[in-house]
Amino acid sequence: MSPTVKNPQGLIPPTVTVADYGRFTTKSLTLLKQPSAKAGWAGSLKKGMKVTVQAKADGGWVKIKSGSKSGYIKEKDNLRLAGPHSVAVYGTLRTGQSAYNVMGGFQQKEMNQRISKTALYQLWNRNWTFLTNGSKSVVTEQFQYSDQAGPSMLKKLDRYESQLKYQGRVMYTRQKVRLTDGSQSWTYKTTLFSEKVVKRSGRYISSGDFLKRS
Amino acid sequence: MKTSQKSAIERPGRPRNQKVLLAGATVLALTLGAGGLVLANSLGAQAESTTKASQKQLADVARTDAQTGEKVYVDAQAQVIKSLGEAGKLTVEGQKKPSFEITVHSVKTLDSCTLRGFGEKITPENGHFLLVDVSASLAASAANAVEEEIALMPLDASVFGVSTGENQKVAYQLDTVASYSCEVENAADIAVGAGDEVRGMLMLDAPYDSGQIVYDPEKTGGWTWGY
Repeated sequence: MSPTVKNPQGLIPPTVTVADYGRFTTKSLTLLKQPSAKAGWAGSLKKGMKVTVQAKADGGWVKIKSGSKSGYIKEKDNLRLAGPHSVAVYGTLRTGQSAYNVMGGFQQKEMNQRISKTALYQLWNRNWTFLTNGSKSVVTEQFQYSDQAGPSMLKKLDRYESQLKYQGRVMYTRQKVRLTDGSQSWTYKTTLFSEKVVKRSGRYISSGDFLKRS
Repeated sequence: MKTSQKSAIERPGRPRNQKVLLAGATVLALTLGAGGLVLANSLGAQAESTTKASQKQLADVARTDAQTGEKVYVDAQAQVIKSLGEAGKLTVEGQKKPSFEITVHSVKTLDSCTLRGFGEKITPENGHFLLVDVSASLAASAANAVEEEIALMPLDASVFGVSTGENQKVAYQLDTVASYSCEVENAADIAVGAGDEVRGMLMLDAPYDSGQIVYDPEKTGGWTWGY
């Protein structure tokens, strides 16, 4: 066994590409051009932003990308799995759809995401689409809200999504779901009760995409 | 969707040869099950002139209420005419007790409503919000008409229409996002299931501030109440 050798001061560790995965920033972060504390400034990110981790380097460094920004940060304590104020929407709340206007005030929107292990069903009403458990994935958009706006927005959406009931029980509740990139967001999903109603009575949208429900 | 048993249901005033199948559930159930039959009828009707088709429908209606024996009135749009507070009924052939009943108790016209959860005022997309007090019941036996699906009758804005008066063309698509987004106290369930009774409030987004409100999931003739 060869002895452990510390990296000499100033040596830049090699970067290894990894399969992309999603995380959220736990605080405001400074991005660096290289995986070294002495590297130059490459940008900054607000707390609560969704990022994609693309590569890793010794010392706990990761290369992340968020929109047009990319750079290196230390992963530990700076990234988290779940966005406390991140909401994944898949139906009329999506960009350009009929109820999109209620989604204002976000600090970031990530398009073309997918919620894993779910399915999409539509009932008789053209505006009602329901996310259930399933074996495939459903197209979604992730909206990230700040610590200031997030709690209030979640409360508003909880109320907005609470009206549809069958046999006096709500059809949607806010639940945490995992996306195919490994990140977690809140979404409005069927309950065990309403999932049965939807699956037995609704139409399965095989594309998993509200915009391709035909 | 599989249907184990077809249930022939007659609406007083409904064409006798037009069976409603309480299959597949959810409105979809109703729409696909019953809608399948209705579609067939509709396609057949297209071969005739509108006048002929209407005459045929009107000439072939159940003329009395199976339960009360009272005369049934149907308008030229194949809607059975009811007064506010009076129930529209679907009755299985040969029986007197209705399998399904629906009643519009009152209708209030509003210029705006509160966006649920957000508190802002929003206005209707079609012209007028109608806040409807509605009740419905579905017999437990309706569940026997389906196998895997859930027997239910829809009660949401998508199955209602409005017209300017009796015999006038019915406008549908009152289920706008604006109407869905309104804060509604004591909102009605989206449907009534087998063995259930439901009463609550429903918001519609209508082009007319007065006229006739119509409950007609199949868009082939239902019941109408003046407001």
